[in-house]
Amino acid sequence: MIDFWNVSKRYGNKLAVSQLDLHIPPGEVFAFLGPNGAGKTTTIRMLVGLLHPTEGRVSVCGYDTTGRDRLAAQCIGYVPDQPYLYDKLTGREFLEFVGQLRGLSRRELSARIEREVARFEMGDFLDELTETYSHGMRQRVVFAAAVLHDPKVIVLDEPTVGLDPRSTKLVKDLLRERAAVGTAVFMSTHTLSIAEEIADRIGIIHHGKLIFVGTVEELRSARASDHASLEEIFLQLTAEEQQNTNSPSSPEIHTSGGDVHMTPSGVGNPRHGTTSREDNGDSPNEVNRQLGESPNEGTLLATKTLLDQQ
Amino acid sequence: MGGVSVSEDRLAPLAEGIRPAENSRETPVTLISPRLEAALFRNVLFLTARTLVRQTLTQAWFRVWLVVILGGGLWLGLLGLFAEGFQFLETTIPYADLVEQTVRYVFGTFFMALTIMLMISGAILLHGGLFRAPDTAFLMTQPVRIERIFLTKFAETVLLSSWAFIILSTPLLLGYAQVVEANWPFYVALLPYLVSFVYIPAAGGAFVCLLLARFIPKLGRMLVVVGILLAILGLLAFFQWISWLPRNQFLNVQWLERTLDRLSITQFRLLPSWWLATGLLAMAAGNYRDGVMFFLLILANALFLQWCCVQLAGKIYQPAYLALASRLEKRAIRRRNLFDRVILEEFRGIPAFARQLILKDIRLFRRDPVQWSQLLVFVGLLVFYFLNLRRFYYEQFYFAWVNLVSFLNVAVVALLLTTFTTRFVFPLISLEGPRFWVLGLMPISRRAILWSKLGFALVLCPLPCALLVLLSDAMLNVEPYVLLAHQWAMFLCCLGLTGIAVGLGARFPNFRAFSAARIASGFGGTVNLVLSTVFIVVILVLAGLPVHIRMIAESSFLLPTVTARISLNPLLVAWLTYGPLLAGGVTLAAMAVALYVGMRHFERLEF
Repeated sequence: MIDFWNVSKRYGNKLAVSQLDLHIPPGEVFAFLGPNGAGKTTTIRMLVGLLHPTEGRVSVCGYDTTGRDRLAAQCIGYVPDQPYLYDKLTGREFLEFVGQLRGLSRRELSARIEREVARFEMGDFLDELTETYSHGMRQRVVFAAAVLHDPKVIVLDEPTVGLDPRSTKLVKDLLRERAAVGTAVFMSTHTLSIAEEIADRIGIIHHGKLIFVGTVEELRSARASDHASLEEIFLQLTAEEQQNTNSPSSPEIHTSGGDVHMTPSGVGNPRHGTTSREDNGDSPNEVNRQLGESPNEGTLLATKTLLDQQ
Repeated sequence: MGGVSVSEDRLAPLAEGIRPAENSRETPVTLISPRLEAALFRNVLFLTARTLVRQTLTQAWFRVWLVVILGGGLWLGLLGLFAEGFQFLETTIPYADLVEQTVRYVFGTFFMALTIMLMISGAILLHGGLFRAPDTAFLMTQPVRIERIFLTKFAETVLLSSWAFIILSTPLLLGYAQVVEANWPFYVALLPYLVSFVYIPAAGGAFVCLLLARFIPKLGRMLVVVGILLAILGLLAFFQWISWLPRNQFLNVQWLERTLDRLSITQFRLLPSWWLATGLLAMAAGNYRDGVMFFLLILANALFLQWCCVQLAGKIYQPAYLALASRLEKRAIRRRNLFDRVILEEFRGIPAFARQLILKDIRLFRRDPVQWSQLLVFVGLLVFYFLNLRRFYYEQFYFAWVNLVSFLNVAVVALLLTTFTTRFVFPLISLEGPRFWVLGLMPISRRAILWSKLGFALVLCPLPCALLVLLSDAMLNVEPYVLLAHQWAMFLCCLGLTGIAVGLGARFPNFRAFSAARIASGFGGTVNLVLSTVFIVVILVLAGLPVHIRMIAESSFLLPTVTARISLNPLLVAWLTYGPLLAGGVTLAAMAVALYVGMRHFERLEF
């Protein structure tokens, strides 16, 4: 459903995302985690067609996200970190505009707007100009606009920032509900508890490199810390990665069988950094089973290069 | 359902040839038809315009009336001036052919100049709309055709460009029509002519904008800067060449012939501005066949060029957008430059925190090109005008001319300062709104914050104003006492205008608007502009005018009776003697009242 094919993104000389190879099947909630400046927003902007990858390709529902025909955009419902609304329209007028751009008929649109009004409790303010809305109100309208057309893919950049606990609960329920009917959800967040609670898989990105992909349980077992919270593991992992970045000699490189593995110091198992999977409709559990079996081509090449240098 | 709904809900089938990528097994998706897409965007534009008009009429009625009265007055003044000018041509030039030729050249030059300006402003406006506007990023994530996004922004640009073009053109055209007693078809054709024409330079600007955005980022920002500078220098050189004449050849037959000869470039048959001028002149002369033909020519070209722009945008707009979005905007900033060091280390009389506050405002100002670039253009044009002052005068009326123009120049600089303080100083307090916690949590009084704003304005304003007036006076070679009087008047204007702007900025803050332009154009900004204008009129009358009256009184050009009358009137003597001092008092009073009112309000304000 969502496919990153060896995607890299450069800003001038700065490598923001490096060889990202990631595939999200239908019905999966994927939480994308990472420290500030790790490359999360760049990845999301490539996913929604606001940035072009320097290398590789991003596709949604099989359509290139930066294609001229804009067909990928039709599959996506996007909630940006800075929600944009037309100031001089009311929330309802905005939803009508977006809904009709998505091709909804009048009757359908009317019913869906009422559905979202009820879901996000927007009845009190939806007919006022959006310039008078608080951040939370704006965010709710943007959520409603993103799911109005029942997209096959929902992309969210820091979705719960500025939302009250009740709205946050609504969003979490909505995402699980949508995933249950086959929608792929790609969400970046700093709120690790939400990721832990609703994500089928998480991905951790650091300095543009995907350093882990898998379930929270897999992460715990990989770190041999069954009782640690996601927050603790995340902080440890990113701190180690930071150390590795600062001292190039620190990655541990070892071989087992015919495979070559690069392990950041302190990580018990071979790293699953850029695990790839062909999008063949496998369930998330099957995907997870594949984790750790073999590093992907990008990691392998990098490792071999390091070995050659040694 | 609200206003966005469009009656026709037709879904276009998936376009021929568009296929999912190799790995996809999803069902094909559909886009709405281009017609429905267009209707939806029209509706959004209509709803936005309706809300804006309603808000303006209900919330900013004072500004509306002010704009109508002042704008209407200006428009009528221009109409009268142009009508008088054409009447002058008719009566002064004895040959009908020469009159017609002169009018043709006037029209050609006028519309050619406006075409260039429309192209440049169109390119700048469109660039902002296509690549910087937040709604563009939103639309880029929606299933909207790239061509539609471009067309929407292009239409906005045409709308923004056309009103100024129409307001500037109509007095000239109507003034001419009045003199030649044109028939009703001329008046009917006027608006369609002008509106169709606007599309041509706007399309030119769009070409420039798209091509630059697509290809220049690869070549670097420096090239753009150098290119713009070269273009400006080229334009200035061109106008210099057109207007250059020996001093003894002003407003005589040789001057007219030579000027017309140099302006013959405006009569090039392939220029759209020539089509417009020729067509409108034909309509005014009752030659409707030619008039309609030129109208259709303009319309056809406008439509064709717009079509070309859309095709080009379809090909290069999205790559340009993506390329610009991928540019690394970060740049290291030196910790302290010389100017910062001077502020921090040389003004030891000012408390350290106040120096830091002043420096903060200066840094914000200089790092935002939108803030200072317009001002730079104004000042640049003024400098250009001052440098060319000596060229435009009648030798025989030299003394009277210097007397008049030197005073008017001081008034122009004061007016420029008024717009500067309204546009940049007045919004300073309002702009602190969203980030007021930074200052609000510091152990400094709000009074001190206000004083620092005044300090910032006083660091920026006096020197450039003094230099501008000095340049004007130097070019006109005025007497030293006139120069001193001008500097005194300008100094008072700087003090008073900054005090008024800071005081009223604190009295009428607008914490909801994030743009300085929006704050300045609100109610408080309008009050500031009006009061500032009244203030400079008072100061110039009290401190600037007396020296010129004295010059007239001492002039040998005037009749002795006038001199006698001036010297004999005690009121005039008092004005000449005490006016400059009184102006100082008025300035201090204006500052004190504005700052007192502002401080009182600001200290009680809750954020």
